[in-house]
Amino acid sequence: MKKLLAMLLFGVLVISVAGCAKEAPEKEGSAGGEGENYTMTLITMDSMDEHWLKVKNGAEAAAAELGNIKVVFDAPQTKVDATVQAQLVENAIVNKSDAILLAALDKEALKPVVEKAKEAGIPVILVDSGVSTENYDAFLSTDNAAAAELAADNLAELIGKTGKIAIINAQAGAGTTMTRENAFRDRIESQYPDIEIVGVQYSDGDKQKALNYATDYMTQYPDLVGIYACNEGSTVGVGNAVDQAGKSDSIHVVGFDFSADVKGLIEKGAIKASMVQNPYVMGYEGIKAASTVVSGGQVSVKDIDTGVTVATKDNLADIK
Amino acid sequence: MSELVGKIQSKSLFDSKTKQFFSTISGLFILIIIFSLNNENFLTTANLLNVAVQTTPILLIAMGQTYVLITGGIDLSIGSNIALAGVTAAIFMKAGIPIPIAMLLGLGVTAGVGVLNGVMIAYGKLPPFIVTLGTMTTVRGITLTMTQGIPISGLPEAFNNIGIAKTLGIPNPIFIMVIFAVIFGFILSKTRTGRYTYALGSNFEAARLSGVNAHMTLIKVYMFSGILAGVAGLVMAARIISAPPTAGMGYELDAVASSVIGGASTMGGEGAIFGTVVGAFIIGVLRNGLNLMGVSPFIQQIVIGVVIIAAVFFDKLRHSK
Repeated sequence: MKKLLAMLLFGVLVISVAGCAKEAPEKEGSAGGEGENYTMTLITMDSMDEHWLKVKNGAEAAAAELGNIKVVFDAPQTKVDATVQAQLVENAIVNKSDAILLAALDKEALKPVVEKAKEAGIPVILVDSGVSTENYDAFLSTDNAAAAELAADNLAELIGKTGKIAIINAQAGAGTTMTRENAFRDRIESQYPDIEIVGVQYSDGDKQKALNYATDYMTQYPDLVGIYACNEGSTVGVGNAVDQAGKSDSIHVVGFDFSADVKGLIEKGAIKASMVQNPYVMGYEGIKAASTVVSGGQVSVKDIDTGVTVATKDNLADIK
Repeated sequence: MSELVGKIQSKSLFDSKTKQFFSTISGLFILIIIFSLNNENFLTTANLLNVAVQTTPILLIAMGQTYVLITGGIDLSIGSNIALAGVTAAIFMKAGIPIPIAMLLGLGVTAGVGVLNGVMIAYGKLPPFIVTLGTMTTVRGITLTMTQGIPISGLPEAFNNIGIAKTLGIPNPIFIMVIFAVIFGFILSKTRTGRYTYALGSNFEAARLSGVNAHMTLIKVYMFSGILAGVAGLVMAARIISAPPTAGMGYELDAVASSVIGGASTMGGEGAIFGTVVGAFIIGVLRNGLNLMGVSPFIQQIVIGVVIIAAVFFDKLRHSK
């Protein structure tokens, strides 16, 4: 009896969930105007980082402009491993999505499914992070190495090209942030011989951890003059650490990415500059590129650098 | 005869507790000595206060986890509760609710999650691991939904003061940590709720049959863990004047580590707030000291992992003797 009840309840749950899921496409069908309608699946690394939400906003804005595109945002809830993301790509193939926009967590692990999608005739647009295959239609990303070099030049300028600096990175082993660390290092070592990088710590993008690591660096090196942070969480943590230590004047922070928190700290002077990517452009141009491809056209340039903007106190108002 | 056995047992129990007390605290002192010999900046007032501030969230959540571990359970929802408390309080603050009330509302919500955990475990007879695994994911999802994935920033200056301002030269989080450690240490060692907590972990059926209100005690214990996670979440949000929905990920494991280093048993029946305080500080000192020594962050993870296993291993050795 109990078992029956449980199964019944489960059945009701499944039906109601399925009902919810069904609702969306029906609405879309009735709203669709003339011409063909396309469903495009956007798969990012997770669905909570502001960065990905901006990609999504850009994609949705482009879809709204074009009018005949529906964007399905299908990202893992939290940071996961690449196999979960590969399953999402497979789902999109099975659901006969008209195009797939993918920010790959792992360039090797996602290669087979990207190729599978292409075999199934589905255009693949890569955004933010690539896959090690030539079999894609367009790749929109920040040239992270170039951005990191720009960050190095900015920090070097701020500290008068001499002194001790520390690095707070996000995830050890993640392609994007490791590029930001390594390109920064190479630039400092080759161009600014009087700057010494005393060490690197990995905050996992956790603001508390970044704050703690930065505080420990300031304790360990009282003569520290600069800190470079490689993503939003690290930048906010480091900015707060410097602000709380009252060292905004003596320690220059150059970070990466943008958010309300980063903005506040730049206003306060605790962060001197932040390399702001253009995730909105990635999503926006990504959908535009996908639209070109699905309607039989070709993208003129396959690999597109969406660039960075250096956010400082002076241009804060212009950054979105 | 049986009285004599009882006496011997209680005496040896006392001895093992004393030994444990000395072994954990001496572990902490050995670490402190090693680090002060290695780095001149370690044993400075500024750095020690800094270590205490860095350890505050870990200790708060570890005390809740200790209660739960003593009953033979586990609370995996702690990390998510950290984010929930911060985000809830932040939303109310942004809506113009006075800061203390907004903070209490944040704590109320995480206490509610704790009660829910307790009810499902006590009345639903579901395994704590599964129940709190479920609430861990659910609460994280709710927090992300509440914020649309974006941190809530621009919180009032006065809230920030709770996290960074100093009273009599000591940062406020340290006072919060001490007050809660005293309260929860007292409840566990001196009150009926505390004794019931141990009784449940030693032998649940026996405790229930001998009149312990098992259900109510379990609910209270999980509620304590929810509240303490909430306090940690508020302190963390106050330190960075921002409430990210992603705060506290994986922190529940730091809580388990501090508790077991401090002598709590994952099998239930054992643990004490004092031990947990030492356990949390061992982790805090270890992280800070290794940072100051410039030890690679990769090696640090190895060291901390080894310390956790070694602490439990020595504890086990002592028990088998």
